[in-house]
Amino acid sequence: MFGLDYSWLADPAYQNWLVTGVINTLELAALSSSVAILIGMLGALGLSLRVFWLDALIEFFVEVFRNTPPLLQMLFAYFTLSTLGLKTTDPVTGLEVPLLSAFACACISLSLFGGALAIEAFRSGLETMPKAITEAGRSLGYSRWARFWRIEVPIASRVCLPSLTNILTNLFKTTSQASVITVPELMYYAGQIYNDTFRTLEVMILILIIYVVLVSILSYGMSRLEAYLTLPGYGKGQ
Amino acid sequence: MNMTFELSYEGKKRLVIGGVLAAIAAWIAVDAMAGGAEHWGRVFVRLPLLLTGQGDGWPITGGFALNILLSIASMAVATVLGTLLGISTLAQSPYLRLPAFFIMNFLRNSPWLVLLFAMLFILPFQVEVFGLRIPFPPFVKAVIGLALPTAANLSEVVRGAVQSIHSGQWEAARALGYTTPQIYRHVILPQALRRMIPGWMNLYALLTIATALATVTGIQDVLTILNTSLAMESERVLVYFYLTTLFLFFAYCYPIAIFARRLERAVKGDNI
Amino acid sequence: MKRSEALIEIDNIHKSFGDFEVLKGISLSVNEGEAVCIIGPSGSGKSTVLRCINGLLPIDEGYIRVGNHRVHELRSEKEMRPLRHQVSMVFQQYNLFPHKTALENIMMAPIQVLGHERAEVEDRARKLLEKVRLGNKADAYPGMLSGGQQQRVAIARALAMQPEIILFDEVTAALDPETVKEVLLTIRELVDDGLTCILVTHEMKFAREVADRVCFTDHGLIVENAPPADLFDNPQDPRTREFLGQVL
Repeated sequence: MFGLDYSWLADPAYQNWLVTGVINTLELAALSSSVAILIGMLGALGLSLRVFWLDALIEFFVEVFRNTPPLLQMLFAYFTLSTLGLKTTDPVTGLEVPLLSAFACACISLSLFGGALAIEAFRSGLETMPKAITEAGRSLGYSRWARFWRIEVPIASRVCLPSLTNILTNLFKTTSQASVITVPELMYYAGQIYNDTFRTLEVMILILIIYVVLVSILSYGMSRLEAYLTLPGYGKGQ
Repeated sequence: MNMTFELSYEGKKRLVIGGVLAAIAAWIAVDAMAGGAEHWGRVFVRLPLLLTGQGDGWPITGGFALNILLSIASMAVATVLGTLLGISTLAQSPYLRLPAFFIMNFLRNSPWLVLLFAMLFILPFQVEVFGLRIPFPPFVKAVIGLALPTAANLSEVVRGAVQSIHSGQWEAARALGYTTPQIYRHVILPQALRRMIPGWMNLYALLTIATALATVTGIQDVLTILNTSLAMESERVLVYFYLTTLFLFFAYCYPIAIFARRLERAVKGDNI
Repeated sequence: MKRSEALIEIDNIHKSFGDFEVLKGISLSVNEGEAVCIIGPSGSGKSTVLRCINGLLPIDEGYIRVGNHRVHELRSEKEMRPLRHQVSMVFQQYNLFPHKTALENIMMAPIQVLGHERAEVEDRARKLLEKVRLGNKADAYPGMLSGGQQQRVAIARALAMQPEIILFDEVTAALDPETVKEVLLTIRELVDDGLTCILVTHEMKFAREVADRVCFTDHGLIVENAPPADLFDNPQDPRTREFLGQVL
């Protein structure tokens, strides 16, 4: 079809690579997303405390990570943490190997990047919280922590869901850049395959389709979650 | 004489950020004195190369200047494509609207890097139009590769802006006898334009950050030069090179992002 | 009221939005030069009828004739252009184009839609602004005008199309009482000039003074249709009586 040659797909070795790549991509995305969300919540909580120096530091962190390329962040992380970083002795070969693998570096870098985005998203979610609700919580005697956890988070997270979906899909797509620092995820294996088969066009088209399908599934899942969590009547016509 | 030094909350925050920057500057100074100065010297020597692709700083053939050029060219293409795509998603006819939605979602769900690679291989290295041979150098492929996802995002901004215009404008225009293309041209787009600008600027900042990916196409952008420079420098120096490059991107994109946010606030009360 | 003489003829039109039937069989005839007021509770379909007359909303069933145009048969916006030349509409929310001055708002459509000469249109526009007593506001943007002023510009904009019929959709509902008077005065002058007008309105006193006939709609049907003196002083239908009892 269209003169494209997909005969290489029949080779079980390449199939294996593709599957491994997808699994590693999913792992990387899931891990960095989880940490990113954690960072996001902590950061948003920190911002809600209205301590000026904490605000400043968090803002500094967020702006640096939002306004620099994630690829460069990963290269930097890989270089400093891996090449220049902590080394340990490999018991088998007796050689010095970096303590943090490329995967770990990518994870750390992506978590911080995603965390910065998440802080921004959760912050705007908390900001749109009507004062009336916080006041009601206080007058009912809730402590600050309880108020945050039991009242504000459940409401704010509904508002944040669309932005959160954006961040998660963004992180997922950005994992492809980890291939540049030799993390064995899908894009990396794509490179390996077309270096082997020279079928660059076919490989890239397939990879593109696989990514789009995976991201679409993620998007769809998030929209189902959004629908499930929707508070009837809230947010409409406010 | 009672001097009260009351700072607002914002003021205190800015003071702390100033403090952090000062601390960073101090750290750099201390490190410089401990031998880091030599490394910064290497960076300084290479700086023109990083910025323009030439050791002397002129003519501009690469470096960060190429990234900026790439972002401008790509944004221009994306603006045209994105506006057309956005209007198509609002079309009455499903034959126009559904394919437009499909294309937009496909592009939005694709990783930027993968799209860039795909464009590298899908686009031919030259096209023949009317007997004229137009070469497609890697730069052009990078322009297109980055423009596509930006256009998809822009089409959403356009769609949002057009939909935010009160339906009464449509009614009045139709009652006066305007056809749909006329309504877009004379009534809707002039008003929607103002609301699109913050989103457009945000996308430009995103696009500029994404130009870092263009290094995979082989063009002499700042990352490519960074990598080739690294081969010639010692390991220790590289950290300083990375920091400098990170700073270049930050220095360019941060002001744009701030400006876009300010515009967003200004446009917010615009709903008539 | 012979059928063939009426300028506007509406016969048994039905219109539904999804499952909800808004117009359940409206019939109405309007002669040239008549001023007809439509009153009734909200949701009774008054605004919908107006929008069906100038083709903004298509009908599901029925027959609409405006002059020589068989509106129910017109499909595309292009086909409706001559109709829009003959019928103009003024809206409750004025719907002026905020990015154009008052004068430009009035001039735009005759130039761009009807293709009239610019010099002639500008002359016509300035005269219309004078007519609605806003001659000194030609270069003001809608955002700088009060509600009443904007509505008068909207009326001038409708008149610039040189229509035979003007439809007014609750044009004073969004205005405060002082400005209502100035708009009603403008409309009254148009009626006195002999323009055919259909007004959906809540201003009962105005309807009594100005209308040749008043129609009362309820739940998608015209319940009563009579000269104002008869309808207001001696309503026949109990629903009309109930409505008038509440609003008067």
